[in-house]
Amino acid sequence: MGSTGFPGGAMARRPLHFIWIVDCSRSMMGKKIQSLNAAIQQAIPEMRTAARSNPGVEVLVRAVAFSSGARWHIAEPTPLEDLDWPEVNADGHTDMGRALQLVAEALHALPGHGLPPVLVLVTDGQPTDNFKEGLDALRAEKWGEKAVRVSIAIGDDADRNVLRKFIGNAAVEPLDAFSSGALVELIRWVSTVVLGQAAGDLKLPEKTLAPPPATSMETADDDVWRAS
Amino acid sequence: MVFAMMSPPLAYDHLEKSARSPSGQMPDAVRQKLRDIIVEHGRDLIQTPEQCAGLIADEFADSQLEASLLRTALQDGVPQELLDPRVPTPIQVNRLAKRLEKQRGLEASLAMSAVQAWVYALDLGTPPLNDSGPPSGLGEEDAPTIREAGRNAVAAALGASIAVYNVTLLVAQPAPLRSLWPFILMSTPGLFAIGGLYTRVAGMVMGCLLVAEPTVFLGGLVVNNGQRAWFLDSGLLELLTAYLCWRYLYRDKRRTIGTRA
Repeated sequence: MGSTGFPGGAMARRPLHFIWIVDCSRSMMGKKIQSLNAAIQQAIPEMRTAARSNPGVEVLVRAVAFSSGARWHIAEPTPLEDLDWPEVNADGHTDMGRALQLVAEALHALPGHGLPPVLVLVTDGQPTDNFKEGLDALRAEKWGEKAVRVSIAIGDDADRNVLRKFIGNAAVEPLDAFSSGALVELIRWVSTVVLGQAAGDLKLPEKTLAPPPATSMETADDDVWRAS
Repeated sequence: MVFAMMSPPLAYDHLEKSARSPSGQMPDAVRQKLRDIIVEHGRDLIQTPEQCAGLIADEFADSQLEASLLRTALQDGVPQELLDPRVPTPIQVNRLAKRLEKQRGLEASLAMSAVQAWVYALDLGTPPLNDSGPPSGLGEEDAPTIREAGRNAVAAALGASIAVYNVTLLVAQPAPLRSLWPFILMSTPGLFAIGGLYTRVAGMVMGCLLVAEPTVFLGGLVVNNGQRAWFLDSGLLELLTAYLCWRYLYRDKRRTIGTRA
């Protein structure tokens, strides 16, 4: 008998891979990148809370940062209990395609059965590299195709069409964050509601995401990322 | 930021002061950086406007107002059309600036500054950067037209041959009265030489001078001092022009004919 008191030991937990894909290009410099860092840091405790309601699932978080090229910001699949968010900095271009390739390579190494991973793409711009190549590589992977893909568009400049292609589901639109408050709200929603759904429903990816929170434009923030 | 989808005029009001230098152009640093992007990635970059827009957004993160103008022009197809070899750049510049003004609601000088920045970036025979100063204190948008006009004016002035006269003694019997006869002959470029009698006393062959397309003319004076008549014309330029006409209008034609044969 194991330490949990269950016959046969502890219940096996199914891994759920959650990957942040964050834009660290120069256009994110300033308030946007600060807000992104703060939003993810704030979301981590809430992710832990959400994960506890699915004890059979072990959420493993990773993060890719892309600017001129792409790199693993959190390279190892990290359990929520151990997760910390080292701040990212902004500089360089928006090599989103390279980031998707990196994610595709990681998904390739996952076992053939399990929960579909959650991929969250956060960007404020347009890809400066070959986005299609990256997306094709991602969707060529079994888990890339099955993944729950969500995207958050920061400000007006984010290319919604590119994000729709990333999502690959006509029923799901990119989420618009026009202020730091809205970004926090959306990050929290993605980190809790989407994560919870993904953990609880093996067949989630097909058009079943809960509606995102309504982010108001009438915010007290002084950093409204709109042209008008 | 991209303003393309916004209600036009108000959205650009705040750009008025910041996106231009006092000469009506974008700051040199912005234009040069845009040029650097094109040089680094090649002109083919503008065939993928999304990628180009992404680079502009990242490279001009500190100059978002200028970036929005450049991206608006890019989305409107300005750089792509500037590269169309069938239409001269000065004509394109004015046309595209007007189109930006009408379709995107840009204030006229902002529209022109955006187009001119692309002209500079694509190295399409653009005026120098602000450091050198625009010609005659005029805005850069006027420069192509001014250059065209200036070139024509120089050609016309040369053709008029006002300054360089060649004195030809009229060998025949002078006219009976003292007189000073100004004259001007006009012709077409192809009609570069006219042979003929000028007066009953002259009987000389006179050249007709090419000036500038589409009209050529010859200016001169006939001076009659009562004893002899002097024909003052631009003989030296006549010879030069006749040679050029022969070379470009006739010799090339012969060569073409010869090739075809």
